[in-house]
This record gives sequence, structure tokens and C-alpha cells, in this order.
Amino acid sequence: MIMDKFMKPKIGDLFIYLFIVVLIGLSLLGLRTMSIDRSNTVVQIELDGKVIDSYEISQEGEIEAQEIRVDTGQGEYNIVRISSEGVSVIDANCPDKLCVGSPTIKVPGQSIVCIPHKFVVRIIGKSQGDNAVDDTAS
Amino acid sequence: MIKTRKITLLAIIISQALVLHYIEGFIPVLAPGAKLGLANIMTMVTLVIFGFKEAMVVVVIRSVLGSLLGGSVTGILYSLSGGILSGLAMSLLYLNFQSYFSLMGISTAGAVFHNIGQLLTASWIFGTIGILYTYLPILMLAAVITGYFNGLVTRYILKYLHNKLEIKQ
Repeated sequence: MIMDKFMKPKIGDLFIYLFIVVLIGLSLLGLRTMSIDRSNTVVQIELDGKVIDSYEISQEGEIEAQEIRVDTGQGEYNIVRISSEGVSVIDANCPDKLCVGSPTIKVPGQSIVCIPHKFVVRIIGKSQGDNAVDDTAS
Repeated sequence: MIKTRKITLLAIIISQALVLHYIEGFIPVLAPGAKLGLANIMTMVTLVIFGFKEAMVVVVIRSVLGSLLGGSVTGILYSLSGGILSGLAMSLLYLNFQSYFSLMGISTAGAVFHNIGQLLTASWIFGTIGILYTYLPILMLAAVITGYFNGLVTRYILKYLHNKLEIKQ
């Protein structure tokens, strides 16, 4: 029976699993260095399609957490929190509160949107200029 | 193997791979971006029955047709890059180091390189290498599980086909 030779795990399989462990280690290492090197990352706040504010995140190491209150007109507001963990909307008085429930964003290309207030906060990579991310399904 | 028989068999294998490629989209997986990679089973079967060239033909045709069936056009890029890289890796391991690896191991390596290929393409499209770091760990863990499963399935398919097709080895 020729297929019997494939039945049992073999010594080479170990190398594949070792390779996987090394890859995971490397990418975790990369993740660490990446979170320190934020030299070209900008947090951009848009209102009604126009950029009203942007915050460069260029500090080494930990970012000092800051909370930014954005008045979106007629007593409406969104409070954005920028910290080492990423960017999130911690409070808003919009009716649906979807922006507050949105997960924290970290990587260039991600964004949080508040449709009722026409408010967008997004992270962009400075080198890319305008963030031309195609919305692709993976 | 007679040429007509070979073409027919390859056509059947490709259509099976296509169906697997299509239906696995409906199966929910825990990690985002992770897939079962069922179509990989048919790539491995082709690799064992026919060889390198035919396996790559199956991969390319399955990726292009599969993306046209249910997905976006950029899906072709992801499918092709992952498929070709994993096909190359599996062929290398199977054809040159057969005695050191089990089918499960080869299948796992295929899954790993499929993910690497896709993530490299995604990094290139999105213009940031960060995607690679972020998704690689979770996808690698998924690859271990799905790779082992696919290897097992391939083994049982081959066991059955061996009796039916008189595969010479």
C-alpha cells in the first residue's frame, strides 16, 4: 500500500511547526517595533468631508493619552481618545452611538465613522498622502 | 495515463476544487481572513497523482475561475499569489523531500505559504507592511489546524483513488 508511507507524522513536520513558531515570533517582534515606530502616522479628524484637525503621532515609546472634544455643531460633540492602545471615540451624543461602540483603531487605513454628525476619524500613513485604500474583501 | 483520461481527470479535479473554493466562503471561521483552504486538498491530490505542472495548472485555473465565481476582481490577486506560493512550496517539499514529510506536514506548509503570499499581496496593495505583522500570528495558528485537516482528507482521498485509478508510483 503506497499511501502507508504518508500515514505517520514524520521528522520534517517538526521543521514546519518550528518554522511557524519562528514566523509568529518574528511577526510579534515586528509588531512591537512597529508600534514604537509611528513616525509617519497621522490621526485625522474630518467633519462633513473636510479635514478639521490632524494629530501627528511621532513620539518614541508611549504616547501620552489625550482626549479631544470635537464640536460638530448645534451642541453635538464627539470625544476622541488617542493613546498608545490606538484611537477610539469614547463619548458622543449622536443618536445611534455606533462610533462609541466601534473598536479601537491602530493601523493606517482604519477609521471610525459617526454618520449622524458627519464625523470621521481615521489613521493615515503620511507617506501615502491621501489614503487610497481599496475596500477589498479578503 | 492516456491523454484524454488525463484531461478529463484534471477537469473533474478543477471543478471539485472550484466547488470547494466557492462553498468554503459560506463556512464561518473564527479568525478574520482565515479560511479552511479546502481547495488545497485538490491541489495536493493533483500533485501526488500527476505532478508539479498539473498542480500549478489546477491552482491557477481554480484561482481565476473561483474569484470570478464569487468575489471581487482584486480577489484574483490574493488567490493567485497565495495559491502559486503554496503550490510551489508543496511541490518542493513533496517532490524533493518526500521521505521526510507526511502529507499533513506538506499541507500545513502549503497553508502557511498561502497565507504569506496573500499577506504580502495585501501589504503591497495597502502600502503598509503592518498588515503582515498583525495578521500573521493568528493566521499561522489557523494554518496548523486547517493544514493538518486538509492533509488527512487528502490522504484518505488518495487511498481511495489509488484503488480506483491504478496510480503508478
